[in-house]
Amino acid sequence: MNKVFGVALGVLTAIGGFVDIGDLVTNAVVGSRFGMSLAWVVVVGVAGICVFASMSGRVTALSGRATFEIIRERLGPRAALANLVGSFAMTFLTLTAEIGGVALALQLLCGVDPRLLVVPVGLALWVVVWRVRFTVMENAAGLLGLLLVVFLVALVVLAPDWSELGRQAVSGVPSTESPVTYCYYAVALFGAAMTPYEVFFFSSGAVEERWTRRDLGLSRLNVLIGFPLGGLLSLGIAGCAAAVLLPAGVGVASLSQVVLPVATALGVVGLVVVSLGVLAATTGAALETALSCGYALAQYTGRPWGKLVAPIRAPHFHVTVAGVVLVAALLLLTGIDPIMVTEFSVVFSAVALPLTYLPILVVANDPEYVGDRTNGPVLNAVALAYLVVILVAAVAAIPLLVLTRMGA
Amino acid sequence: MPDRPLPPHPVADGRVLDANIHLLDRAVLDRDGVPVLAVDDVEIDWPDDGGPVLLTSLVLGSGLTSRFFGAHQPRHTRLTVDWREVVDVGSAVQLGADRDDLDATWHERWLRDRVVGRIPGGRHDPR
Amino acid sequence: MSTEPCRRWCVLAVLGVVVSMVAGCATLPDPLEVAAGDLLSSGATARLTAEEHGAGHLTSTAASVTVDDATREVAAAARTLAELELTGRRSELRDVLLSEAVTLAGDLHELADAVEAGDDERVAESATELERLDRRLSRLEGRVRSS
Repeated sequence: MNKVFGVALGVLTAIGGFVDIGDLVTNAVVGSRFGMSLAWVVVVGVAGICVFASMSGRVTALSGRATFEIIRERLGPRAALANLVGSFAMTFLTLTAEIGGVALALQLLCGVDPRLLVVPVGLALWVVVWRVRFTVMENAAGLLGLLLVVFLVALVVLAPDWSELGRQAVSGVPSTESPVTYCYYAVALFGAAMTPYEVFFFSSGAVEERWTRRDLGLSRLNVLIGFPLGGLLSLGIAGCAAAVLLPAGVGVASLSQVVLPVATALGVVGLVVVSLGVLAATTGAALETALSCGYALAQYTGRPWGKLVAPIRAPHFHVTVAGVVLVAALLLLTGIDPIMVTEFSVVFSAVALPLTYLPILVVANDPEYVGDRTNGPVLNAVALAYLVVILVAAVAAIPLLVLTRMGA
Repeated sequence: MPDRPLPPHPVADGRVLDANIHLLDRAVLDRDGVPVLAVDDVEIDWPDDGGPVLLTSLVLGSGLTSRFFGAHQPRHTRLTVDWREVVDVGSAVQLGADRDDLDATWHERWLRDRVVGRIPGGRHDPR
Repeated sequence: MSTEPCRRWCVLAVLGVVVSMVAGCATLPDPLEVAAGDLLSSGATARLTAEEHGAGHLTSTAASVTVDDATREVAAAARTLAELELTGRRSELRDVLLSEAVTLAGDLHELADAVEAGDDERVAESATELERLDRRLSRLEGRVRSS
C-alpha cells in the first residue's frame, strides 16, 4: 500500500511540477496564434525531457554525484566554468520569470499591483528554502500544481470542433503567419518543454531525497508517466487558447489572457482554480530555479549544498539562493514585463540545453559512474537523435529571435 | 616549468595516480564524508638536485584563476591542504581531518558565524 | 579543451548573430501591421472580458486586471503609430488606426469604470460598443495586411 502511495505521489508531483510559467505563456501564445499546428513540438519536447531526465536520474542514483560535479570532472574547469555561467544565467532568468509569474497570479486573485508583490513574494520564497523540508516543499507545490488540470476540463467543456483542432495539428504553417515565425515559436516551445534547470534540479533533488539503486525503477516510472501527462496539460493550455482566443483574434501578451478561456468555460470557480494552479506551479518552479542556482554554484566549487543539512552547514549555498532571489525581485521592481522575461527565458533555455545534455549523455555511458547500467543501444540511438535536435534548436534560437523580433 | 625532460615514470609498488585525471577537479571530502571543496590545483616540489618530484599539497578554493591564466599566485595567498591529510583517492579525494579544522574553509566559517548563523533558524536541522 | 577550436566557434557564433541581425533589419515587420494586430488583439480581449464579466464568469478583480493589461497594449500600439509620424511615414491608414486607438483607449477606460462600479448595465453597453469597434479594427487590420 505504501508503495502504491509512493508511486502515485511521485507521478502526481511530476505532473503538477511539469508546467511552469514558460509552458503556460508559450503554449497560450502559440495556441492563440498558431492553433494546434505546433502541438508536435510539445510531443517531441516531452519525449526529450523523458530521455534526459531518466539518464540523469540514473547517473545520480548510481554514482551519488550531482550534475555540475560531473561536468567539471569531465570537461575540465575552463569549459565547465563557461557551462556554469551559461546555465546559471539561464536559470536566473527563469527564476525572474517565475517570481514575476507568482506576482501576476496573485494579482489575478487579489488585484494588487504585481510590483508591490515581488519583494514579499521573494521573502516568502526565501523562508520556504530556509525552513521547509525538501520533500514537503516538492510535494506541496506538485500536488497544488495539479489544479492546472482545469485547463483540460475547460477544453472539454468548451467543446471545440475537435476535428478542426486535429486538422490544425497536421496542417503546418498557418496562412496568416510566416514560416520563420513558425520556426521561432517551435524553438521557444521546445525550450519551454525541455528546460535545463529541470534536469539539474531533478538530479540534485535525487541526492536530496537520497536515491539509491533501489529507487531507480520508481524514478523512471515518475518520469515516464508524470512528464507525458504534464505535457498533456501543456497541450490543454494551447488547446484552450486555440478554441477561444484564436477565433476571437486575441494574441496572448499577458497572464490574464492565458486564463481567460478557463473563465469562459467554467466561470468564476474555474478562474479561481486556475489562478491558484498558476500560483502553485510558478511558486514551485521559482523554488526549484532558486535552489538550482545554489546547486550549480556549490557543485562546481565543491562546497556542501542542499536542504538536508542545517543552513549553517551549507552557508555559501544558502547565501547564493537568498542572493539570487533578492536580485531577481529587484530586477522585477524595475518594472520589466515578466511575460517578456518568460519569452526570453524559454528561447535561451533552448540555447543552453546542450551544455548540460552532452555531459550527462557521455557519463550515462561511462561505467566508472554508472557501473553495468550504461545506456543500451536503443536509448543511445534515441539520445543521439535528440542531441542533433537539441543542437539544431540551440544554434537556430538566437538568429530566429533576432530575425523575427521575438516573434512579432 | 623548468626546461628539462620529465623524469621517467616511477616503477613502484602501490597505485599510480595521474594528477590530471584522479586529482584535479575532484571533490574533496572530510573524514565524515562532508564536501570540503574541489581540487583547484596541486603544489609540486621539484628539487633542483634531481631528487624525486613530490606532490606536497592540494590547492583548494583559490587556484583556478592562475590555472586559467597561467600566472603564479604567491604561495602565502594560496589555500592549501597538506598531502599528508589525504587518506584515500577514489571517485573523490578523502581527507582524514575535520573540515572545520582546515584553513581552506575559513571564509565559510566566517559566513557561517557572522551571517547565516545569526539569522533565526540558521541552526535548525531540517530532518 | 584547447583554445584554438574554442576561438573558432566563438568567431562563428558572433558572425552568425551579426548576419542574422543584418537579415533581421532587412525583414523588419511592418510597424503598421504590428500596431494593427495589437489593437485588434486588445480590442478583442476587452470585448471578451466585458462579455464574460457580464455573464458572471469573471470576478471584477480579474476583469479589471485584464482591462489594465489591454490598456497597456493599446498604449504601446499608439506609441508605435505616433512614432511613424516622426520618421515621416505618415499615411491615411496610420491616421485612421491612431484615431481608433484613441477610441479604444476611451472605451477601455469606460469599461474599467463600469467594472469597478459594478454597474452591469454599463458593462453591457461597453460590450456592444467594443463589438462594433472590434469589427472596424478587424476590417482595418485586413486593409493594413493587404496594403
